[in-house]
Amino acid sequence: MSACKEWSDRLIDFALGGGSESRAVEMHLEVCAECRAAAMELKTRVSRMDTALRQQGDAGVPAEGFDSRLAARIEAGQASWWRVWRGSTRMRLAAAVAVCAVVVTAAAGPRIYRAWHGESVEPAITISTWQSPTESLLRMPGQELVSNTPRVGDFYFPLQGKAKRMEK
Amino acid sequence: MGEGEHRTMTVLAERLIPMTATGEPDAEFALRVKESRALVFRIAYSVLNNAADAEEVSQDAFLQAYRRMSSLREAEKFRAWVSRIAFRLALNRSRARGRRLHRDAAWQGTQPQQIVDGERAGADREYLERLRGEIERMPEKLRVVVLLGSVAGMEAAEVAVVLKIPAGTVRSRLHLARKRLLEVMER
Repeated sequence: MSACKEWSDRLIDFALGGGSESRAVEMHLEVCAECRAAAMELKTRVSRMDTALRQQGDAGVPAEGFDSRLAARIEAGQASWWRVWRGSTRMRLAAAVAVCAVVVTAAAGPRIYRAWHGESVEPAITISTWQSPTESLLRMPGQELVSNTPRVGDFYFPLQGKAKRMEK
Repeated sequence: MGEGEHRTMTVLAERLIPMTATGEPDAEFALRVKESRALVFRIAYSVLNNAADAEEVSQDAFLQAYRRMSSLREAEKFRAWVSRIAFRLALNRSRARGRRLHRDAAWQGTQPQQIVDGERAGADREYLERLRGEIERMPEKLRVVVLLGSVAGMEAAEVAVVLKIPAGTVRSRLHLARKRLLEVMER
């Protein structure tokens, strides 16, 4: 069924139940049989569409036992560390004290050390001169001999001849 | 109070109240769950179109609400608040997962029971599948309004609260979305 061209868009709005020109559309429908039929058809289609949309939503009902499952999850959550942490004032207080201690130590640590040991005390060992006590164990016997042996590409024989001339 | 509602109160209140010294906050929570459970589930279901996912998201929403209950200043806003949480969680899940096949299977499971005529059932199923496909293809602004307004059956004012937009905007978007759907379903 074809409606008057200039009314087709307004008929859709009318069928959908909105539009600012509902009154004008109604007046037109009273005098135009084709548009009246088109409006009826549109309303049927809108009804079918809305019913289909609603049907999908109607299926969305919580299954039996939803509340028990929710309560169980909440109970399980109660036992978690986060719940313990959030629920316990003592835990929060202890954490706050620990954080304060770390901050104070980091900020005032060197001053406290000097106040305790006196200003004359120098740091016994600095990082630059520090050696591992086991460093000597890493040296192999005969390491110096190995390091003096000519390497590949070294000019070896002329040095020997020069050494003999020097002995003479 | 219906039997189902009474059971909600009983189950939640009995299990939760002993957990606190006074019991008052959890009794209130149980009451709030009773008031908003159906709506929260419907929101999740309208977005996800799958009962199992909708239950999980609904429960996650209530769990989050339970944990942050102390931050809610006005208790009467619980319904809107938990609805927003559920909607956000459902939308995140919907975006995160490629669920095309799953959704199609679930869609077929939601066919109305009263349809007995095979030919008509086939036509209706095809119509529903097409309709769902067209909704999925819509821009998100229009899609979420259709899902909450037409599928979940929420009032414009409720949708406005969940989406944090004016109710007038909800109405105009819903109208535009339905108009588009009507036009594309005619083809």
